[in-house]
Amino acid sequence: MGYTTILDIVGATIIGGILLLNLLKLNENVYAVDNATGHDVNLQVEVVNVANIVDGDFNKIGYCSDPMNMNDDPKVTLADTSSIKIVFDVDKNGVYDTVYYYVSDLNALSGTPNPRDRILYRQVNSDFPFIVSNNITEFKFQYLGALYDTLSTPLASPGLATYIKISFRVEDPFAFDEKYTEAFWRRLTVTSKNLKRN
Amino acid sequence: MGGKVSIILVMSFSLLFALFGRNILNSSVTITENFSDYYSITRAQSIAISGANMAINKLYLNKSWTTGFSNLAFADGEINVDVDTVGWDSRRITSFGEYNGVTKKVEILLEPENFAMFGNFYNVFGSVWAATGDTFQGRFHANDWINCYGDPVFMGPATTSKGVKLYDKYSHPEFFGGTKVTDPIPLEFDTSVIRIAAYQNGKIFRDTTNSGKVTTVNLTFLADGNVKYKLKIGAGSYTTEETVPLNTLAPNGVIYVEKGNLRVEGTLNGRATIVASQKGDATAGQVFITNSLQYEKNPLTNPACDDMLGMVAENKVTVTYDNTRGDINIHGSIFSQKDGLVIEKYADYTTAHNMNLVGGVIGQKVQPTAKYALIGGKYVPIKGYSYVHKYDTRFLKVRPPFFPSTKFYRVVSWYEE
Repeated sequence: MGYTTILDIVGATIIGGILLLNLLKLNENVYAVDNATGHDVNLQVEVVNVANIVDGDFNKIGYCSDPMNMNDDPKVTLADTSSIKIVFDVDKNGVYDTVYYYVSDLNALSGTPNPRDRILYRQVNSDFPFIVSNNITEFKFQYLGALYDTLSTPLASPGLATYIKISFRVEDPFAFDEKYTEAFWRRLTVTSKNLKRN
Repeated sequence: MGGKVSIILVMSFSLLFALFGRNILNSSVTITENFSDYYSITRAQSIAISGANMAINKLYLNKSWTTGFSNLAFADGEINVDVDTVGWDSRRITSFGEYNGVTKKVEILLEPENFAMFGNFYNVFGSVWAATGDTFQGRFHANDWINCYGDPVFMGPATTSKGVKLYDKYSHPEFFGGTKVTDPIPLEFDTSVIRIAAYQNGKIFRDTTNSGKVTTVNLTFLADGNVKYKLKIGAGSYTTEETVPLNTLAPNGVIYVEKGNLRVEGTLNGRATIVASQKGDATAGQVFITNSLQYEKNPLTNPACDDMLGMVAENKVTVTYDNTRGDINIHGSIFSQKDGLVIEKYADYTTAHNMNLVGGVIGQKVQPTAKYALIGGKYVPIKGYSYVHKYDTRFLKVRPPFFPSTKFYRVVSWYEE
C-alpha cells in the first residue's frame, strides 16, 4: 500500500465523516422542524377551540332567554387580571347562570417540562369545573370603563366594566430542545349587546 | 460497488426527507385549514350581525317593517332575516349569516320603547351640571350633553345624543350601566292614543259648556282604592266632591283632563295615568302635586306592590309651594313635555326638605329644586327640596296605562349563537 492510498483513505474518511455529520445534523433539524410543526398544529387547533368557547360565552354576557327575568344588575360580578365571573343564561332556561373563568397555579402542571403551563377552567354556577385547556401560559383580561378608561384590577365595582379585552397564549407542554411552540389569541374588545343595554 | 452504495444512500435519504417533508407540508395545510375554518365561522357571525343591524335600522325607519331579507348577497356571503311579531307589539329578528358553508344565527328581541323606562330623561341639560353626590337610578338619557361636575354616579345605562362633558380633569363620573352616544329620542308622543283610550274606557274631564275655558280637576287618591274628585270650569266654583272607586271612574286607568289642569295628592291603590292636555292654552296642560302622592304599598320594600301611576302634562308638573309640608313623597313616572318637574318658589322655603321620588322624571329640561350654600367646604341645600330619586324597576317591564311611547323599538335581548 503506497503513501497515496493511505492519503486517499484518510481523505475519504474525513470527507465521509463530514458528510455523515451533515446528514445527522440534517436529520436532527428535520426532526426538530417536524416536531415543532406537529405541535404547532395541536396548538393552533387548541387556540381555535378555546377561542370558540370564549367567543361563545362572552358574546352572550347578560343574555336571558326569558326577557321578563332580565335585569340591570351587573353582568360582570368578578373582574380580575386572569379570572372573571360573567352572568348569562347558559342553558337558555330563562334563568341567569354565572360562568367563572380562572387559571390554576403553576403547580397543577408541574409534571410537564414546560415551566409556564397552567390549566384554564370554566365553571358554571357551582358545577364541577370544566378544563378548557391545559396548555395555557397566559390568560389576561383588561377592563375599560364607559369612557374607554382603563380600570385597575381587581375591580372593586365589576359592574363598571363596559368593555373587556381578552388575550391568551398556549404553549406546548413538551418541546424539542426546550423550544416551546406557542400560539396567541386576543380579542380587542368584547361589547356584548346585553352587557350594557342602552 | 462504491457507486451503487452512493445511489442507494442518496435514494434512501431522498425518500426519508420526502416523508418528513410531506408531514411538514401536511401540518402547514392543517394549520391553514384550521384558521380558515375559524375565519369562516367569525365571518359568518359578522354577516349575521350585519343582517341583524340592517333589520334594526329598517325597523328604526319604519316600525311596521316585517319583510326581512332573503338570500341577500353580502360580503361574499349571504344574509337571511326573518322578522316576527311577538306578543302584542314586540318583534323578533332572526338573522342568518352564511359564509363558505358555515351558517351562524343571531336572534334579537325588540319591544316598543316607552318613556316610563327612563329614570331620567331630559331634552336640554343646558347649564345644569350633574354633580358629586348626585346618584341617578334607572336608565338616563339626554338629547344633549351629559354635563358632569365632579363624580356623579349613573347607576343605569346612560345615553346621550352629544356625549359626556366633563367640567374639568378632576371630574370622574361613574357609569355603572355604561354610556353610549345615540340618535336623539324626540320628546313627543301622539296624544290622540291616550285621549282615545280615555274616551273608550277611561275618564275625560273637559269644558262641557264648550266655551273654551280651562278645566281644573282636583283628585285625591285614597288607600282603599277610591278616588275623590271635584272640578271647576274656568273661574267658576268647584262642583260637589264625589268619591268613587278608581276602577269605576276609569276602568282602563286613564284620567284625562282636556284643556285643563290637575291638582293631585293622596295614596293610590291601583293603576292610573293622569293626563293634562293643553289644547292651545298656555295656562293649561299642568299637573300640580299639592301634597305627597304615594302608592298604597311601597314598591321599593314590598314586592307585592301592584300600584302604578303615570303623570302626563303637556305643559309642566309642579310641586306647589307649602312651607309647612316638610318632606314629600312622590311615586310615579312624571312626563312633562314642555318643561320639567318644577318646585314652586323653592327659594322661599325656610329650610330644606327631601323630595323622595320613586319612579322617573321625563322632561324638556332639568329644573332646580333647592337653593344651595357653601357650608364647611361643601354645597348643601338650605331651602327647597333635595332630589332623592329611586327608580321603580317595574317600569322596565310594565308601564302605567297608555303611558307615552317613543317612536322607536329597544333591544331587549341579543343572542349570538
